[in-house]
Formats: sequence, structure tokens, C-alpha cells
Amino acid sequence: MALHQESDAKQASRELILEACLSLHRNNLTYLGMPAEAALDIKTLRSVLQNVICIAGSAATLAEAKRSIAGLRLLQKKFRAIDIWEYLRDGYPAEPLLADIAFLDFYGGGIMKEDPFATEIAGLRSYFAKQARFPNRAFVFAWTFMPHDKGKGVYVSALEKQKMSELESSLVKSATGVRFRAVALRILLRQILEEHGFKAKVFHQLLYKQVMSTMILVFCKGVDSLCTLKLLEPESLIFEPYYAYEAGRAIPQQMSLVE
Amino acid sequence: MTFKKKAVTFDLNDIGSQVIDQISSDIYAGPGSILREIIKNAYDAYLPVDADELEEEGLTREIQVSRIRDEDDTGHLFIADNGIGQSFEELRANVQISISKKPSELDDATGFRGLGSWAILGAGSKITITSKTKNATTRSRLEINVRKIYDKMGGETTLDDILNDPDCISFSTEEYKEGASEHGTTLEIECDGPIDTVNGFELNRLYEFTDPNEEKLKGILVATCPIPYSSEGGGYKQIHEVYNRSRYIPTQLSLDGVQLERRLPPELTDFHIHDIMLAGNVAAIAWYVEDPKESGVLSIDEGKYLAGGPGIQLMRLNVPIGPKNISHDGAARENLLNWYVGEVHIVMSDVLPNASGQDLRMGLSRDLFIEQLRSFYKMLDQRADTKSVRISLEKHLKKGIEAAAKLEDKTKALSEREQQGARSLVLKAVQTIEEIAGSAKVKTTGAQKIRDALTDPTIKTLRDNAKKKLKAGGWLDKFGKSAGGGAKPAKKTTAAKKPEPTSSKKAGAKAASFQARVATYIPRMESLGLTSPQIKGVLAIIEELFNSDLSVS
Repeated sequence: MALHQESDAKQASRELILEACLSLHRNNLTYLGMPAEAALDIKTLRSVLQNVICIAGSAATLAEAKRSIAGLRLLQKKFRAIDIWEYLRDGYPAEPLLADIAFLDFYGGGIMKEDPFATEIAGLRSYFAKQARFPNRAFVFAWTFMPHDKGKGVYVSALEKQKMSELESSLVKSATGVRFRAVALRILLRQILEEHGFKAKVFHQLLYKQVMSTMILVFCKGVDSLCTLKLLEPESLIFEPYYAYEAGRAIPQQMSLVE
Repeated sequence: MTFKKKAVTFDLNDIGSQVIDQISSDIYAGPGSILREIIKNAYDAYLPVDADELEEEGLTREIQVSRIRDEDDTGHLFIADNGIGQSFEELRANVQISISKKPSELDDATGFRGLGSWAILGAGSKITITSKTKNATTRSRLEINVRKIYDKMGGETTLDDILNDPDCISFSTEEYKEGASEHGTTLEIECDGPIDTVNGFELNRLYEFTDPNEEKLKGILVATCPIPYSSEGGGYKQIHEVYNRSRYIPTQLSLDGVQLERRLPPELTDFHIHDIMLAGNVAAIAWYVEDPKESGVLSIDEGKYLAGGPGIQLMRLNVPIGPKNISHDGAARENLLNWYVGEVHIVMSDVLPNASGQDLRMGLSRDLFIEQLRSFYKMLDQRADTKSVRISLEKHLKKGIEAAAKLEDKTKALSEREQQGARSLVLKAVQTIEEIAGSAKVKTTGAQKIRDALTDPTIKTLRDNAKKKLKAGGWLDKFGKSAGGGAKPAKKTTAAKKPEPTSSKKAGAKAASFQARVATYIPRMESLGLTSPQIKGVLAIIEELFNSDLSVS
């Protein structure tokens, strides 16, 4: 039963990513992500997708994903058996396709590696650097993570070189659990977005029973005339709410990271 | 001496494994025959699906063909549908031989031989079929290791050795609650490398076509698979009516995400539907379309229209059978059939394609049907002939009217060359008017074609109009037969009926006749830009030649 509820939450996050994609008002998007065997995220997004780039560490997972999406009308389908961060760092810059929607869907934590600067942060920087070459075009970036990672210390070390405001520093010190991780990721993203002159909006962040969170971000350099969302300076990211989904409640609770 | 009955039973061990190769060899007639079999199965999978339910699910009747080349050069060809899907037991039937339930359970199924996966065996090195029925919480899979089967096949290996070896053929199921509402089948042909032979048997036949950058596959699908005409193109309503009557349900086919749709070039507007009858019943419904303004073989931009080129395609449930204009020999000239684009949709139940799909299954039904098909071709042949005459008459009359108007227009001075060209066109129009008049009295094939062309009221009107205008301008009097200048020489037929003249008389008659004929060519010399002195010179040469020819004879 618990597994089923988690599946519902995962599906809810997929639906929310679709909503974010719909706000771009384009139906020829390129997906970059880590589909599981059933590729349910791609299937959920199918109405807006034209191309997919699928990344998985396991070739067997990719083989199944290929079969799962064979029935969808997609122009280009690319599959790479590689760690997603390594792909973002080394493969994505040379990829002719531009990802309109990037979905980092981790079973574990967002930042896991012993040297986050060499992998996760390098991967993130590489991804945003490529997106920055295409101004006036809005993108969706989604990140699912769970707190069963290698602890708060890895995130703290990832934030070592970040310039943080007083508020951010205090949040890093005081926050715990998934909330802390959300703070850390928003600070990481805020800095990279600022470096490239992006504006952004947290379209939605859901926190499911303190065990899983999906943050969906829409960002753009310049103005995308098709995008219907109002994008703000990256420093506002930390103030954007998140929504907690708790057992026994009918509606999610709006929460703030800065409280 | 009496023989007593003795019970003897047989099993799979009594059947040699090479029977598998015999089955697939019968069907294989190139990559198109493999794809046709698979796509027909995908089409059939939609037949039991309720159209409204499909729409509610946000799905359409669509078959996706897609290709992936891995970094290690392994090729994958996927054919996927959102049809009814197969339960585990139904999936098992893919391995059975000739035990298809399709014809009895499904009306209008395109597949009927029950050869399942065996029909496509040599396509790759591994074939995987994954299927799921709606609301089932599991999906089923059949994996056929072609390389292993071929490796094992041989004189002493039995069918039992292959069918019951899980390394060759394996089945599995998987719990799939997350996608419970999904339904359909995905067939994957994996090619582990270029075309290869194992134990004398060929595999990876479709390797070349697993490359998404390869362009031939599209043409193969167009020539061999059921692809409907677009709802946006001309003639769609009429074609849809034919689909409806022939019980084909339009099902989209896509290649690498691009929908394949046949279309008619906009200039093809003269559309006809024709029932081909056999023993008082409709054996096939044909549609054909042509360009009413042009005669000649149609030039169709295949990249744009996917009509499979000009000509008439034989079909059953929109699945092409053989090449265009099949069995036309002796009934019609192929180049004339290529003045049309059309399809003949067989509806008679006992006229079926053969195993390779390249022709009809042999038998009396085929012979009788082909006879009727040829009559249809003959009708198209004659129609093309008549059209050719009609367009020629139309062209000459129109150009003559225009040229006369130019010559009569005093406001615009024409150069000598322009005048010569215009006069030549007027002369041709005058000759055409006289030819039309003469056709009523002469019983030749040519005259009959003119009479047929005159059944088109626009030609009659044009003729009357031309006659009126050319008469008013004095051109009829100038170039007409009565003037003796531009009229055609005496009809050959009439001349032939005359008694043989004596040698001198014959020569005299020949010269007179030739002189008249040469006269008709002078305007053509003028239209070529020859000046009067040049024409005079040419005439002198011709006369010299004529006289030397007479002296020789």
C-alpha cells in the first residue's frame, strides 16, 4: 500500500511537470531525463514531446525504456548508458538537441558524490551553460530526490564555495531533513542561474511524507513571449513556497522554507 | 490376408526443424514482406478495440515504426500499436503454426495464415514481443533468439528441439500495475550486426533499415503497407467512401515519429469510382484520378505525396498487393495506365493475396478476377487515348484562336518570325476544324477517337467558337481545303482505294499529292524561323530529292 501511495505521488509530480511544460506553450519539446523501465514520465509528457534523450546507468533499463516508448510518436530518440551527471558534464554540451525539459529523477539524494564539484555541480553548470546559449526560450528543470542519501555533510560541502546571504546561511544551519536539502538545492541553483542572467520560478515543489521531494523550476534568459509564467530574479527562489503532502489530509499544505 | 489397424501417433519430434525455414522462405520476398506481415498484425490488433474508448484514452488508431541504432551498432526496429493487446495465452499463439483464430473471430482481419512470428524470423537476430491487455496488471513477453534457433537447426534437429528449448524461445510475464490502463503490443526486431548467415540460414535481414538516417524504409512502407490517404488531400471523401465499402478502417502509420500519409497532387481532379463486377457481384471497388488538362505519364513528387508513383495499385484492406499495374500485360499499355493514380480494393472474400503478398493466390477465383481487372485496365487505356485526342484538339483550337487574334490585332506589330509562327498555329486550327468535320464520315479508329473526344461538350463549344472566329478573320477561307493552300492531302484511305495508275500517271499523281503535302509544311518552316529565301532553297532541295527518288523507282 505504501508503495502504491508513493507511486501516486510520483505520478502527481509527473503531472505537475506536464503542467509546467504546458506553460511554455510549445508542443515540440525535447526531454532529457532518466526514465525507468516503464518510462512513465515520458508517457505522461507525450502530448508535448517531440524528442527524448534518455540516460540510465543500466543498459538493461534503457533496453526496456526503448520498448516502453516505442508506441509514442517521437522524432528523435537517444539513449545513453552513462551516469546522468557525467552525461550532463561531458555529453550534453556536444548534443545537437536542446533539452526543453530536464528531469533529474533520483531514488537517492540530490547530491551524493564524494566530490560534488567534479560531478553534480560540474554537471549542473554544464547544463545551465548550454541553456544560456539560447536566450528568450524558457525551460523546465525538475529534480526529484529523497533524503536517504549520504547525509547533510555532502550538501554542506557542495555549498562551500557558494556566496550566501545571511538568511541562506542561517537556513543551511537550521534546516533539517528534506527541507534542508530543498534549501541547499535552491541555493545551488540560485547561484548558477544568477551567473548566467536567468530569471526563474519554482513552478511547484512537492514534499511527500518527508521522504521524497520534486522541485520543478521554469527558467529563461531574456523573455520568452510564449511562456505565460512570470519569472523572477533567482534570489527570490528561496522565498517560493513548497507543498507538503501528508497522510490523511485531503489537500497539500503550503509551506515556506524561510519560516 | 487382412490388414489390422495399428495405432501410430506423431509428435513434434517427427517434424524436422527446417520446416521453420520453409515457412519463412515462402513469405520472404524482401524487407517489405516482413514489414507488411507485422503491420498487418498491428492493424488487426485495433479491430476489436472500441473507437470511443480509444478516444477517451487520448489514443488514436496508430502504428508506430521506429528505429534506434545503439552506440555498439546494434540495430533495433520497433513496431508498436495501442490495440487490444495479447494475453499470455494469446502470445503463445505467436509460436503456433497455422492455428490462427483471426478469420473466424475477427471480421476483416488482414492476417489470416496463422504463421505468427515465423513469418518474420530472418528479420533480426532476436525478436521480442511485449504485450498487455487493458486493465491487466501484468504484461507478457515472448523472446525468440533467432541466432540460437538457426545455430541449432539442421537435419537431425526436430521442431520439438527448437520449440521447447528456452534458449531458443522463452516466455515471461511481469507485474505492471503502474500502467494498468495501457494496452497494446510492441514488437522489437533486434539486429546484432549486418546481414549474416548461420548454418546456411540468413538473419539480420532488416539491419540496414534499423538506422534512423536510412531513407529507403519509407519507400518500402509506402509500397507494401496499408497507409491511408490524408484527410487534408483532394479526393479524400471519395477515397474514404471506398475504404468504407471495402471495410478498411483508416489506421495511421508513422515512421520515426513522422506520420506517413498518402496525398493526391492538386492537379489530379478528375476523380472516378468504378465497381469491378464478377458474376453479378462487386468483386472490387476501384478509384482512379487523372489530370484533366494534361496527357502523359504522371510525374509525382513521392517525397511529398507518398502515392507510390503513378499507376493502379491492387489492394486488399488497403494492403498493397504486388507492384502497380499488376497483370496489365495484353490488356493495356503500362505507360497509359501511368496517366492515372488509382487503387483497386478487392472485396470478394475468395480473392486473396499469396504468401509473399506479391500476387494473388493461384486458382480459379484469381483467374476470373484478373480477367475483370484487365477489362478495367483496358477501359482506362481507351480513356487515356480519347483524352489525348481531346487535349490535342483543345490545344490546337485554343492556340489557333489566340494566334488569329494576334495577327488581327493592328495595335501590336509582330515581327516576321512571329507572324510566321502565328500563321502556322492558325493553319493547324483550321486543319483541326476540318479534321473534326471529316471524322463524322470516316470509319477509322482515329476518326472514332475524335468522335469520342467530341462527346465532351467543351470541345464542341470550343470548335464552334474557333470556327466562328477563324471564319470572321478570313482564315478558314485562306487555309481551308477549298482554298487548296493549307488543307491536308487527300486521305490515304481514299487514295489507296483508287485503281493503280500507269507509271507516268502514278508519278504525276505522286508529284501533285506531294506538292500539296509540302505546302502544308511551309508554315512549319516559317515557324522555325526560316526566311523566304531560305525556304525557297529548302524547297529546291526537296524537289531535287523527290525527282531523284522518282527516277530511282
